[in-house]
Amino acid sequence: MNLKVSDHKDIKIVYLSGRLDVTLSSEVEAELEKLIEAGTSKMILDLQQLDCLSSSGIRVFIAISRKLNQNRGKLVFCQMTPQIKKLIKIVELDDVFEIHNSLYEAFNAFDA
Amino acid sequence: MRQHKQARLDVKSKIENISIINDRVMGLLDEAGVASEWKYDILTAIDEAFSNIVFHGYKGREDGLIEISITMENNVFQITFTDGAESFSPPACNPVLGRALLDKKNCLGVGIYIMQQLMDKVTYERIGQTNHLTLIKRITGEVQHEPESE
Repeated sequence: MNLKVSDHKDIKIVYLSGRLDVTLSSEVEAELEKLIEAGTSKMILDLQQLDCLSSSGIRVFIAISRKLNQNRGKLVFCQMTPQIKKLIKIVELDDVFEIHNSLYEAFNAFDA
Repeated sequence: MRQHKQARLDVKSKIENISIINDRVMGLLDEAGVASEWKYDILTAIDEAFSNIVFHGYKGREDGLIEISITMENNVFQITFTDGAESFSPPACNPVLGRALLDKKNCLGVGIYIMQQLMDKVTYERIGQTNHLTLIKRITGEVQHEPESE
């Protein structure tokens, strides 16, 4: 599991790759929380390289989404693989999370 | 895919030991030429099953024993977890899903639900003082978004 962060204007783009499973979810959540505590209010999770996700990973997405919303921020997802989309659909978060096909569309989501 | 492949391993109830199970399962699935989609379904279900045993069964104790047997035969993958933890009681009602998940403090039951949706069959038995959880997945050659229900 790899986590990389880059900036685009005032938006933090977080690239997750590998498997977000029970052994790594706490660590990833802590890293994302640090970004929020440091002032990030706009975050894109780019999941193009994320192969595998479990309920613990979904809990991280929920926790970060909640935290950003509480701070009047926004979390957007992009480039989910079919496997990840399938899982998000199973837990019926496909209509709840804002999910875009490309990073470009995700950027535009913050301009709307 | 008619070969019979099997593996057996015992691990302690440390959550990090999931990587040992994943490596063994991936090895077996790779040998059998299973496509990525099925592999990830299986790995996710294993993550859910093992997490439940460690956190809810053994309540985080790291000295519990979990026996795992894995078979791959005639396109059917089966994994059984046997442990001596407390009896498992599935949630009485369906898990909260969708928007309501964002309002809840925990996501109880979601892991089990995911396991049931990704695998073709999930069975649980309590025999004496041991729990036996079996996950079964039929591997087909085509992309299958709606697993057959039993």
